[in-house]
Amino acid sequence: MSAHAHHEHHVSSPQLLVTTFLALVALTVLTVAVSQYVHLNGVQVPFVDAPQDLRWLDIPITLVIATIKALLVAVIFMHLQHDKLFNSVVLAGSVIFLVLFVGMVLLDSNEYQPDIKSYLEQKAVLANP
Amino acid sequence: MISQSREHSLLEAIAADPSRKVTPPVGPSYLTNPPGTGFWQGVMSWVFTLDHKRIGVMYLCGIMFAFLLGGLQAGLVRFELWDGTPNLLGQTEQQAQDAYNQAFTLHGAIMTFLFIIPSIPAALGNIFLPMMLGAKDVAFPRMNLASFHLWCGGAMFFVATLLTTGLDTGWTFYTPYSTTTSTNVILATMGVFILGFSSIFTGLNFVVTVNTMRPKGMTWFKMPLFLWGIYSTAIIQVLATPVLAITLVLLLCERTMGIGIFDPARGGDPVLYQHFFWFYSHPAVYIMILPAMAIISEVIPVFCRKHIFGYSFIAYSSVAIALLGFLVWGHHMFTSTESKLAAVIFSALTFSVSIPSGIKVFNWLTTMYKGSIRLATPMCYALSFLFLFTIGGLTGLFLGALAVDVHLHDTYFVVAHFHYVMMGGTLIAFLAGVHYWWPKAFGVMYNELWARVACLLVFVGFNLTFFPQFILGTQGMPRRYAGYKDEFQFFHQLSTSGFVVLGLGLFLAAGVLIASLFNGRKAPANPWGAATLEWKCCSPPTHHNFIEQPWVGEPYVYDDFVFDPDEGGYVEVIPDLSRGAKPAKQPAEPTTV
Repeated sequence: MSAHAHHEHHVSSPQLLVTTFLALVALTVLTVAVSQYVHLNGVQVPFVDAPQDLRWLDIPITLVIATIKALLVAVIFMHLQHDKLFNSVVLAGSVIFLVLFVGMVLLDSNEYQPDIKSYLEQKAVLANP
Repeated sequence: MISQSREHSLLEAIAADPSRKVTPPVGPSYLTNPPGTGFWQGVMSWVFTLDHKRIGVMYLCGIMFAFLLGGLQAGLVRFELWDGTPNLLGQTEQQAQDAYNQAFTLHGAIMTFLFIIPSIPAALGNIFLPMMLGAKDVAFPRMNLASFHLWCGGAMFFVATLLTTGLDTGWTFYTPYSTTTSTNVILATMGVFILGFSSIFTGLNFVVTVNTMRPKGMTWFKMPLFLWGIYSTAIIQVLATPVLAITLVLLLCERTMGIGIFDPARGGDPVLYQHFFWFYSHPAVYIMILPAMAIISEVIPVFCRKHIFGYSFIAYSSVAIALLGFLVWGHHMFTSTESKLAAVIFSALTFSVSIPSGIKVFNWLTTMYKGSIRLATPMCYALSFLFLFTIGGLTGLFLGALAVDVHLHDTYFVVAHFHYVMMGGTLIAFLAGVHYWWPKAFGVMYNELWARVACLLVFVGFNLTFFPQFILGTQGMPRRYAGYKDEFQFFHQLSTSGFVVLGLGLFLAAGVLIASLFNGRKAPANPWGAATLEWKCCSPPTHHNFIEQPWVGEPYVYDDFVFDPDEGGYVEVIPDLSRGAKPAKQPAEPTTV
């Protein structure tokens, strides 16, 4: 008999599981709402030109909601809250690496966009003198 | 270091009380099947084995085949470069140039994905990681077998690429060329994709095995350093390899469906491909070198009869290299329109990797200081490693410096640098490991004299091949060109001559090892006097490794080991407990999963 069979497994209550499920559904609805139905009539959001649309805020808000959903799944459905700390460290480490990877790529990509833009403009001028 | 008086007292002790001599019981070898096993039954017992050692041996055979294939491609490259006119690989100059492009591409791809990445972890790691833990097997034996079968699948894709239209993109599959070339990019990338899964399976297995199956008494800082190295490598394999898989899937989507991801003609960004590719492929360099360093950490203390110097620093430096290795991928793109800001950040981070690497080298040197150095074949390879890896590492700093890299990028200087690290480092350490563990894995001793001659030939041949390439690079010879100006011919011919010597050395080394299988002296359980657990079972081991559980002690303390002429190897002498001595060790009780 393996040693792990003796480990105590935490059983989550049905209420907690149902509540989490409902929270996930609600967050999904919120994601769709943010992308399609948000009309901030008359409310001026800083850095947003058109009040009926969140524009560049769409993606950060969607990502934050998605992160909360992923955390809910990992912490409650996948029992991370009752697991060894090591597993949380692995999860946090993976997220940090992802942020570093995507962050550095976006940083670099943003830096050289003006060069590409000017190249395309020059090309357009040469094509239509 | 063990004093002579200590050796005398140990010999006297076992003469007076032979029961204090630890001799592992001998059982049936894992290499053979019970009498009466039919031929096909025997074949199937290997192909579908769950024994980590058999899987390791199959990996060893597979990667040696891949090494031969990659080596033949290297030969085509070197002989084409004998003179400056492309004429060897095709009837016309254009044909020769095309064939040359395919030869260097397949050389790089096969050596990287089929040989170096799986070489130490999958072959030697599979055989020895569980034994070093005093365990029967890895945590997931079926996943281990699946890993090997996936490797075979990936290898078949590469062989199919070789036999069909070939591949001419360079091993990096850079876009936009890889989305337009008529050669078989799809087959090759599918191969790499499958090999990636094989690598992830191995890494995952090793992480779980080390975490859950360490025996009682073997705390993290009592683990052999080989396990630290393999563990750090496994973390990289699990974290980085999926990125390569995703990148190659994106490349396939672009090539087959015309979706604009990396190709600027379709609105894609080719630099993005390089970011994605190197986010895996730079850490992959550490997948290659960390296990090599881990082998050196095992070999040097054993052949110096001295405790490893700075154990915890070497252990931490493995983890530091694994983590820092993730932060430097951008240094491959200094001249690929990478932005200035990113280039400065990546350049600074690149220099930081040299710190843990330097820590390791200085600790190995300090271990050797005042040690009783025995120049057996594994130690000769370890010394070669120190010399060659140091050159490879230091020339990496030149390339990490932004201004110098602009001059040296895509020249033979880069070729020489990474061959000094990958071949002078990983291959030489792999050979050190193979020679070190050969008696344990196969139960026979090889001819020391000829093995050392082979080592010398490899060392001389390697330097003759690659050192002239540093000079070629600084003089402006670009890589990946089949032709060149007359002024480069002398160095190219020197390099090709070195290749011949290197090839002779490698064939001799292989010949010596293969010959030992037929006429080698039977190996004792512990021919080198090592203190790690894999030497505490018989040679070759039985199917479940240990008939009796070994005692777990300090992995680098050799005070209780003495050469016993009757055994032809070292034996461990347990303390005289009847006189009140307390055992410093305890029997291994592996946790089962």
